[in-house]
Amino acid sequence: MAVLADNLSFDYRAVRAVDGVSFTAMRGSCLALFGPNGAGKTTTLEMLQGYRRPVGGMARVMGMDPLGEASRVRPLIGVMLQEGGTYPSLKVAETVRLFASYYHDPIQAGEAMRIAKVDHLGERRVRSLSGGEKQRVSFALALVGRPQVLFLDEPGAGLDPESRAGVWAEISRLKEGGTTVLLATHMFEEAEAVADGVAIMSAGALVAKGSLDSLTAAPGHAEFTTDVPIDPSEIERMLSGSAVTSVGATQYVLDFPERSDPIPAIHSACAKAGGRVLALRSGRRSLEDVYLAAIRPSGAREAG
Amino acid sequence: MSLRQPERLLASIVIPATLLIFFSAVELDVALESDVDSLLPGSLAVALIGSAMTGLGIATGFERRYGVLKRLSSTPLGRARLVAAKVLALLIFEVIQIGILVLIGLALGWDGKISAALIPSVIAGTLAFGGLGMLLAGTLPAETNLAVTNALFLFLLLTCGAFVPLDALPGPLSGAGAATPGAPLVSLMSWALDAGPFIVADAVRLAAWALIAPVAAAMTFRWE
Repeated sequence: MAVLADNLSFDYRAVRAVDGVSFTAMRGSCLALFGPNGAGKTTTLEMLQGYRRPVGGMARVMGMDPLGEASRVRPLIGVMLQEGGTYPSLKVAETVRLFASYYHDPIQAGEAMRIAKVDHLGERRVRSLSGGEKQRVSFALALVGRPQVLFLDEPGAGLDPESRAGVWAEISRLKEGGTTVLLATHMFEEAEAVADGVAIMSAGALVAKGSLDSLTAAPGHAEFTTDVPIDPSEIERMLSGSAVTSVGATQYVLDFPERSDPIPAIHSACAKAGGRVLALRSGRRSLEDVYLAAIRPSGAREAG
Repeated sequence: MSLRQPERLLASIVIPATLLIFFSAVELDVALESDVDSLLPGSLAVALIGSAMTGLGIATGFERRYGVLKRLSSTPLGRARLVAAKVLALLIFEVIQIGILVLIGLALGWDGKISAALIPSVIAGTLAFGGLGMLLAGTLPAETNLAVTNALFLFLLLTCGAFVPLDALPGPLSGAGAATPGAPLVSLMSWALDAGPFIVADAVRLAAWALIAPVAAAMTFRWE
């Protein structure tokens, strides 16, 4: 186990910001931490980095206490902050070289810049970079110490699609090399691209956790989109025990008996309406649906 | 990095050097110091205040705002070594400052001598003003810190006795100046440069500031 959060809690003055959060991340895996703004994701990561002292619970990184054994933990971790963390007056190459100098066995500064796709910006001062370019520099700084555990706080925020894909590809490559990645994010696409596990926080507490597959699994549930409106009763007639709910002009949710196959009925009903199926997901909910259901207040969940 | 920041060089070298040259060269019919022998210790004190309080404090305030301190604290550098590195960089910078100002003093006809007492005086002044700078930097927002630190620098410049003798100031201003660590630092620098006597009360006051200010800074400092 590379990372352990065991009943972690933290207070900002009188406000409980993180409340008994527990999860683990295995070596070479990626755990995505979701939650609304202020849910406590960043604070949780900061306790694991040894930046904040928990008021309760225990944090372990590579089996060590990130506060009590900080001098042994810090060389093993890389941190990408949500924003900032660099000297605006320094050039990009100087910044990466400076941070590389803090580590015993860093990767070459040029290599870190190449991986983060900022090698062409080496002579530019950090203050002159765009938000996305600064994020990529921040990614290079997180990588430069060959971290065994990488903490990334919204790494895809502010990046163009190509840069985002590059960062995700690098995260996947690092995982294959045994690096454990903890990722705080708001992007479902990001988690689906790189995460093995997901933890969802709301108001400081963990409200859902599990593997991406287990959380999104939804037997007896399908969602589909057609190019023309269909008659839902056609499907209900063909698929005994099913119920179709229209959630948009041409978008439908189908609940059906778990052992039946809904796909022929969906295609048939669509063909009968003179259209075709544009998108179909069966037996699985989107991560967004899982997230929204998880963070909904318990009263609303019960009412819903 | 300090040498790349014009605003830091301004308070740490340009202002003290300019005042040293100006008051040495200009004869004023008021109660101001005007010979280089008595001006150089005050200029060195102002330079130390500029680097230890103004330069260090403002730079640290902005590093805090930019998240640099937060990021550095998660690297193997850590907080303790970061502070040690800052102190070391500051001491190196002060050696350069002292060298430049002494050279200017020599060019202006200074013929005093530097005693070993300069070293503890510089260290005590650095601790007192570095502590003050870090106290402000660690508790105020960066922009407020910038304004407050510069205002304090200006106040100290006028009331520490470096260029205007304390007894030439109006009573309340003289008292306020004497209560700060500025006046005792000027007094000790004068002693270290053989331009004044050793005054025990000033040494005690500066030592107290050198102890209290860093402790207060350490107790209140926020890394972000």
